[in-house]
Amino acid sequence: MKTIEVGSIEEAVERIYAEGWTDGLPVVPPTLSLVQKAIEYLRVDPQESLGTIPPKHGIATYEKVVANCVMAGCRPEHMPVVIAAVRAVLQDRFSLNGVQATTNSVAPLVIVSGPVVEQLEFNSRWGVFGGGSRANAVVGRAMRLILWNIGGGYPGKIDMSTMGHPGKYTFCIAEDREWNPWSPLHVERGLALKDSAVTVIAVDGPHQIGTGSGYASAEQVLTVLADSMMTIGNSTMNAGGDMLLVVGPLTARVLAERSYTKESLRVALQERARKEARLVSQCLFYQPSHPYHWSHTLENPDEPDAMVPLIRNVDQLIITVAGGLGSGTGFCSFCPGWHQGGGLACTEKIEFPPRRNSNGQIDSV
Amino acid sequence: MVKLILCDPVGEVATTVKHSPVIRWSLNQKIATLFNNHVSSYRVWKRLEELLQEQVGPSNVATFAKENTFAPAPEETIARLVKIADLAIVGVGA
Repeated sequence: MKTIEVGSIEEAVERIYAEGWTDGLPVVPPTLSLVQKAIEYLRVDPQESLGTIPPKHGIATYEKVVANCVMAGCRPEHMPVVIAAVRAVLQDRFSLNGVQATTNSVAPLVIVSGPVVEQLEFNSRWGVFGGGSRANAVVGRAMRLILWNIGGGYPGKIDMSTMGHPGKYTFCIAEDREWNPWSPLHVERGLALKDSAVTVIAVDGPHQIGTGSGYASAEQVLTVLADSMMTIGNSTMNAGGDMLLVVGPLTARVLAERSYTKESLRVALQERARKEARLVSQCLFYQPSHPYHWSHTLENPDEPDAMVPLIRNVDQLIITVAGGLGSGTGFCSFCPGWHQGGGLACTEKIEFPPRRNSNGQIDSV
Repeated sequence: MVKLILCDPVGEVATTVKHSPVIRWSLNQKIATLFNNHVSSYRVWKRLEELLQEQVGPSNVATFAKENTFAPAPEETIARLVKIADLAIVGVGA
């Protein structure tokens, strides 16, 4: 690995900016000792590659990934979470090349679920999308620096996002285990309850929805959620694909007490989140001949009163439970996705290195 | 004096750019177009296909389109394209 010698912290900070290793925010200097310590913890070959990160197609060796994790402020134990997230965005269905280069403003959001949430003190409650937790901040930040330094996602050069996204500094939330009345996200996606996992999905910024669930009927909550989700200028309304609904714990409890499961919630929202073709057709985001265009979901797209579904397929509505309890306003957040072609939710199990006892024997993982 | 050794976090690029050969093209060759379906390229691409058909005749132009702009074309599509065309024009970017 190429290294640079500097004589002070101040010089390191300025040199890092000069080298273009950060996107504007200051970082922890990626010293050789910190990188070596993390490699030792992970018990990996530093030259082994996780793949190449598009669009620059930089080789994501463990040592490069670790250097970026160090810059983000990760402790070694945060790094398996980042590594799982890198594996997730490298799945074909994520289409990372497009996510990094698109004129759209989506950013990859890391959703952490499972026992690791408490083990590493991820924030799954108040201010879940904001600051306050080292784990959320550094995992999201490490992903961004990896996409920057290894993937080359430089704004205006390769990353052509028109509006950008504050989540391109850091974007990581955790699912609440205690307040989630439904199956954990990773269990829905095929992993065991005891596992910890990341699910990454490319999404717009979170749009808050005040459902009033502390006072409202389930039907009222569903109406508010559906109406707030189906705006005609969002990518998902136009071109389908995965989207994310972060249900606040109060709203989740209210819906669960009225016998809603995640499955029945998806169906209920699919039925309600529809808009008239005469309105949706005002948005010329996609051409009707495009394979993803909303008109392909209808038998009679030329009928002005035909109802266009936001949720083409119920599996495309990703649901997680997070956020503070709040008041009776029952806040939730909706994040439209990119479209059917990419940024789709991808899940990977977090694999921690084996721990060894004082005799050097593996005693747990 | 403090000495810090910083590790370069920038990934080495896996692929190298190869310069394309100069295309020798004549009117009796079969041409394929492979449109990437990018929303911003519709008009220009459709016009390109029309111009090609005007120049070399519709029977000499085969048109293909990817469903997913951002993913490589399926191998079956490339195989069909290679079978019938002498050269191909592919759509990239926005």
